[in-house]
Amino acid sequence: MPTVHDWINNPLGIVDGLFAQSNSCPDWEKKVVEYFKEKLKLNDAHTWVPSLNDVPLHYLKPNSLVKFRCMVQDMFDPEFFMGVYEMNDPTSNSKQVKCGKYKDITEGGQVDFNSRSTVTSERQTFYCVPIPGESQWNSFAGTSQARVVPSTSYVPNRHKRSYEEDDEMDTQPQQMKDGAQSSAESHGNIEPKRQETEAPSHDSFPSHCTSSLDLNFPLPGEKGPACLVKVYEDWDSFKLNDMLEVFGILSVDPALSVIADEREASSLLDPTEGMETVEEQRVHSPPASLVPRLHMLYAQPLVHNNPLLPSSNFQRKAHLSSVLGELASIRAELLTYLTHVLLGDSLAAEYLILHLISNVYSRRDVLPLGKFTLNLSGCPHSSPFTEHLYKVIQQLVPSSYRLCMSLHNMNNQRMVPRKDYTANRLVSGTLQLANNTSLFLDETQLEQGQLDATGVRNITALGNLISWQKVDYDFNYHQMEFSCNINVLITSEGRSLLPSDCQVHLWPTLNPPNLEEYLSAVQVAQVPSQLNKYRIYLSVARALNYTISDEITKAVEEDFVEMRKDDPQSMSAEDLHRLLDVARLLSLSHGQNTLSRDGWMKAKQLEALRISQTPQQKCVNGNEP
Amino acid sequence: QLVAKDALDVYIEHRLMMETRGRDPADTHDSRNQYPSELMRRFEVYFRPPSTLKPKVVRDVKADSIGQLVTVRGIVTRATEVKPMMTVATYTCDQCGAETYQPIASPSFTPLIMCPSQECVTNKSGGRLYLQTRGSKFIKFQELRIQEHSDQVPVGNIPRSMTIYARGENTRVAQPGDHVAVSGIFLPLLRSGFRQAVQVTRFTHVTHISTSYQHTVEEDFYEKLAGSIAPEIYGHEDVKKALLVLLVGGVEQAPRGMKIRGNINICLMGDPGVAKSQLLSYIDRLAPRSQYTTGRGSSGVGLTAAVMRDPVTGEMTLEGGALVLADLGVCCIDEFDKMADADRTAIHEVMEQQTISIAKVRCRMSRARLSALRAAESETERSAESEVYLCLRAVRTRYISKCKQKQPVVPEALSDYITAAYVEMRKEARVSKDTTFTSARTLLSILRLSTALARLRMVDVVEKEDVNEAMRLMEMSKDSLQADKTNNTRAQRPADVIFSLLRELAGEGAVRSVRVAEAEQRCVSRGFTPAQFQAALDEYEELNVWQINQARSRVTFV
Repeated sequence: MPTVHDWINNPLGIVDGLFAQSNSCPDWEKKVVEYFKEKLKLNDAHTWVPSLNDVPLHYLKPNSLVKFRCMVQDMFDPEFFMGVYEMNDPTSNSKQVKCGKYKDITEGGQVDFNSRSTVTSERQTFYCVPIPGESQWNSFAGTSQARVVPSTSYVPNRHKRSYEEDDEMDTQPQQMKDGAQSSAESHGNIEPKRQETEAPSHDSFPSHCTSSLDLNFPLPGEKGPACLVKVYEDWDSFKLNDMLEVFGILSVDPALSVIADEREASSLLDPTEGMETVEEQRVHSPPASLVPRLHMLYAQPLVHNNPLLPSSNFQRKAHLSSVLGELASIRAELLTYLTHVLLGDSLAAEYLILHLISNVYSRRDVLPLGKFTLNLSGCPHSSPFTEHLYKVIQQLVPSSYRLCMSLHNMNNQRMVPRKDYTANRLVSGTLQLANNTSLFLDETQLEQGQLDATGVRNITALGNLISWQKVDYDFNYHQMEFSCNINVLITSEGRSLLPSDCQVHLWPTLNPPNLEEYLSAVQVAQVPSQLNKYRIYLSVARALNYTISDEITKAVEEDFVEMRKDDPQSMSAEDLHRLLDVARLLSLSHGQNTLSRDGWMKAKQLEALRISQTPQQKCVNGNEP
Repeated sequence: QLVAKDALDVYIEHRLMMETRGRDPADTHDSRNQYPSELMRRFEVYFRPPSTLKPKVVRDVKADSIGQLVTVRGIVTRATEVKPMMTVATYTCDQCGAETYQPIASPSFTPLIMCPSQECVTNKSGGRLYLQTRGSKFIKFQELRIQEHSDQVPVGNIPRSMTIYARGENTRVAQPGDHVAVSGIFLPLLRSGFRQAVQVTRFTHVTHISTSYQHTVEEDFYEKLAGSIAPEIYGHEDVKKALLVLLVGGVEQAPRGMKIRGNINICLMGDPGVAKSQLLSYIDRLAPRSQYTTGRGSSGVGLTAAVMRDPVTGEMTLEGGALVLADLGVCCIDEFDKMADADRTAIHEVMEQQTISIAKVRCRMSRARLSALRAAESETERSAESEVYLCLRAVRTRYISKCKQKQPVVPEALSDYITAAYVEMRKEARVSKDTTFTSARTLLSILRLSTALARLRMVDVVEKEDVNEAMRLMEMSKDSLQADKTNNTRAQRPADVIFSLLRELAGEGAVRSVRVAEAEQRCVSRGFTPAQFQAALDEYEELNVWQINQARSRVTFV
């Protein structure tokens, strides 16, 4: 029934309706937010809302409610808008007070700029991109979930949409009263125009426009809609690189693009425009068909972007108990699977699991706690092994990126984001990643040669990322530190030139004649339902809480003293630190929230085994602690 | 009576004369034919905010500040060229010759076309107006963009920026990179287009810009300035002082064509992980011009300059390396000890002679005026031409460039003192088993250091205390080297050393006493601060080892 979904199809009608009551109820703005929050809470109401991530932009109805799973890539300066304005209606020669919130453009008539009822308000603009490196299974899973949606919420073909518009026009007069009505009419007026122009423009734009307009995705080769999200409430709570699910009103009015075009053409003539550079205009007011505007009604910060898991905390708890039961069996299966992938090395597979569930859970001063950078050494040089290993990891984690550390990449890739003061934006880099992204550094691709200044900077940035989980963004006059939470896995032949928390040497026990065939076969053997189980397992284990009881702390302390007594060289503070990390991750991987004596012993055994299998190397490159 | 006359003065005078002469008081002129007050004015009015007003952060300037006078602080990230902006357009009519004026208050205006004068209107002669550039009034106009300081940005946020319109005398006050406090009226700028868009950007009209930098020389200015170098690194006060001095540099002298370098070279040595590299990179950021490079990554060619053949023309061209790029600045070379020997020689020339030779083409770069700051890990890398063997330093770039303009001289009266001190040092060096070497070089170093210190205080004459501090720094640098070899013996407290110094000074007479001033001088030249000296005096007096007379001018041993 259309009435049920009016808040999705015509959210502005609801906003205007509440605004009309603003005289009697001064906090109508809060009411609007509350209204949509309530609606979205109902059952699985949020799945009815079409998603910008999955549905092509030209299938979405302008001014309807949409959702967007994204990362905050840049924060623009705040802008002012007329929250309330008065309009002269030329036909009836009367004045009307209108609400400008959640809109880019005033409707109809002549705005009376000198009116006393004008209220200037402020809103913040975020430049949002889809979460970088999101795996294919992730967005696929997202779509399949959206398919459950009743087909009325979005209409995948144009014929049907126009039908619905008629439908909407019919219902509107009953829905809205007085002031809101004219907005509906003007809304209807521009509609046909938009339909005609938009479809072809969308087809032709990307081909010639992507060259002139850089959408500023952190990773090369990324696609998807970038979005200017306008935030009205509480924008200080959002941070750069936050993952968000934004529910907002889509605004793709072509007039926005007209402004951009006109300004470019007239910039030479109009002195006010000369003060904003052409680059700046292009970045801050890109064509709406490429970068739609989204007026945020409600946003949910995402702790993880695994669509197989409920995103809200409350639901996750219930979900958790159901998963914990099967945890042991899933872990065993995953271990077998990874052992096959790692050519029969079960120790490496064990450490890979620990790595995949690691997470920076706290920071003490500058020291990030919980990171577990793994250096998988002994990987064959120039073989398809690392590529396949990455594919396997990509299948398991929600977002990931493989960085081939070839000389060309190191010398040419922009890794650290940089502020471009001419265009007044943050030019993204490979290392601008959302939390919990898996970064796969393939050092086997590195060859001999000269690193230039960029290369040296990039290596330094990678080193900082691994050691401190932070990236120093380049602001030209100064640098700014942005902490991150990225799982780094390094594959290399010998010991990596980058620092790492833990080095595991790969000792293959299988030697398949055709490596490539073997690895593909191993991957194909996993059925999707099995993979989904692994995905859920990894995300759940990662989010578990962890404590160490006083009793165990004491036992560990005594153990440490004991070990130092035998041979002080064998156990340094760093070793203890690593051992505690291993013990923590090992317990979590078994679904235990506390460290047991048993768990501690297991961790010790595991470490001892690893060290005995790691080839002893002399200090060669000065990266050793 | 009026002396200095430029075109505007002449115009104003003429216009005033015209007005008094031809004006009939009963005549009602068109307002456009009257002289607008802007045209007759030579002064500009600005507001200076009360000094008690605390500048705001860019992100705190919100919609409620619109139309109000606000003061914001930030760093300039962009400054346009200064352009003329028309404030009054003057037109002349091609028919009647009457002047018409159009005051302009907005960023854009529509030029007038038809002459509005009485004559043209009544005659319907259709006089056309022509813009007259010389008779119009222009003011200087500049647009700036400021951004928040990094310390004002909440964690995980992008710094905000704001556009500033500066007019008249407020232009050319700030350059990109300057820290400024701007007072002005905060106004939004309306964006409009095909339909009325409701977006507005933000900008401020300036009424006052001040660059946030004070010239006041405080009591413990030297300590504070040194402490402000890499404040995140604890301790290393003397190293920081040495680095401060490096930034300022000594005075270069050229008696009879011979060049005596004023630049100070520093080699920082120490165990791995004692913040040598951090200090180096801090200096790199602080120095107005600097080049950072690491020894392992650079060859002599890269550091100095490379000769390249242009592939198209076959011409030989010079490619500047780190040292050339750092001309008149600081070149920071990290991991100096890891550099190949052959390449290191290239740097020695620069440090010693301040020239760069390129042997390949037998040409000589005119001058290389830079200080080299090097960090090395082992003592074997000690080179004779580095004045201070220590590790660290930094300061406000602005202050330093101000300091560099000073050319302090060593007064005649001080030369005796310096000579005596040098002789003393030589004597001492001979008796001690010190591996360092006191030569005429040391004397030059002390002179360089003292002139640099005088520059720091922004004075024109070197004073005794500068020389003392210079000698103290040298002494500390030597001590820091010796500490390596003698660290198995118990470190002596400064008070104990001062005591033994005084005992030595007092001699073996029946009445063993020494003058306080003399004793202090001796102690300071040995690397102690006056405060330490005073503390030692009090301490031993309490122990009844010596007595100090009422005027505190003489110490007598009990």
